[in-house]
Amino acid sequence: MSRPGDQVAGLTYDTGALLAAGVGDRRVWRLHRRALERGHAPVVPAAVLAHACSGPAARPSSPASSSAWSPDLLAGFLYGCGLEVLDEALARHCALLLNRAGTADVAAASVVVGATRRRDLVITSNVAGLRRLARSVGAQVAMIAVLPDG
Amino acid sequence: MAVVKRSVSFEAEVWSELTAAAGGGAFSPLVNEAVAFYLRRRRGLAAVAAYEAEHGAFTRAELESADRGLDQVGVPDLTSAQPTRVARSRARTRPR
Repeated sequence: MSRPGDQVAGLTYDTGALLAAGVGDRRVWRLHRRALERGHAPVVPAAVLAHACSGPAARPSSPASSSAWSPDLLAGFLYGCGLEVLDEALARHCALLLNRAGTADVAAASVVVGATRRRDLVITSNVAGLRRLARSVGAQVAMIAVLPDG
Repeated sequence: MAVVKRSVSFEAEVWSELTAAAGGGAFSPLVNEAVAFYLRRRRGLAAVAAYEAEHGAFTRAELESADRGLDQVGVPDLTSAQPTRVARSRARTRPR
């Protein structure tokens, strides 16, 4: 399990990272550049990709995201990422986590399960939600926050 | 998925490390995974360059800020990992 402050193995992108990338947020793009230059190919869980592409409801409405949403920007961002398939084993692990935490956010659960297993840093706009999920199974996940919730 | 068979050459020391890393398993998946990873990073960096061409190049301050963020949570620089014996040998013999 990764703990904030320990060396992490790689990076996992949560929905907020993809949404920020899709509106051209400079902070997430420069983190992405530096991650690639450090030899990493960040991981995107399949459920996160589905959530980020699900439509306007998932998209940020904060002042930081005043730029227009661009599917092309997101597509370019994803070129440097690896997709983590949601197979049966991962799905069952997510279900266990959601059951313990009493929530139903499959995308968030897949981030916590995958990042904990890989000891990844998570780029997210949902620090509090992921922390709650991780704590429900006694885990800690290192995170960097991007666009605020909502 | 379609596959192609090609003959490739390796430096002897690289091949030796590869066989040790494979631990008796198949080489093709290992090499395929390594090449796919390399290409993914290459495509990613090309996309970042396209982003910067359209939205403006990152300033030194922006990149230093990103580095600080990654350093604070311990994201390693895998490209500066200890070089293989081959790379060390090359570094010693590289003409100035």
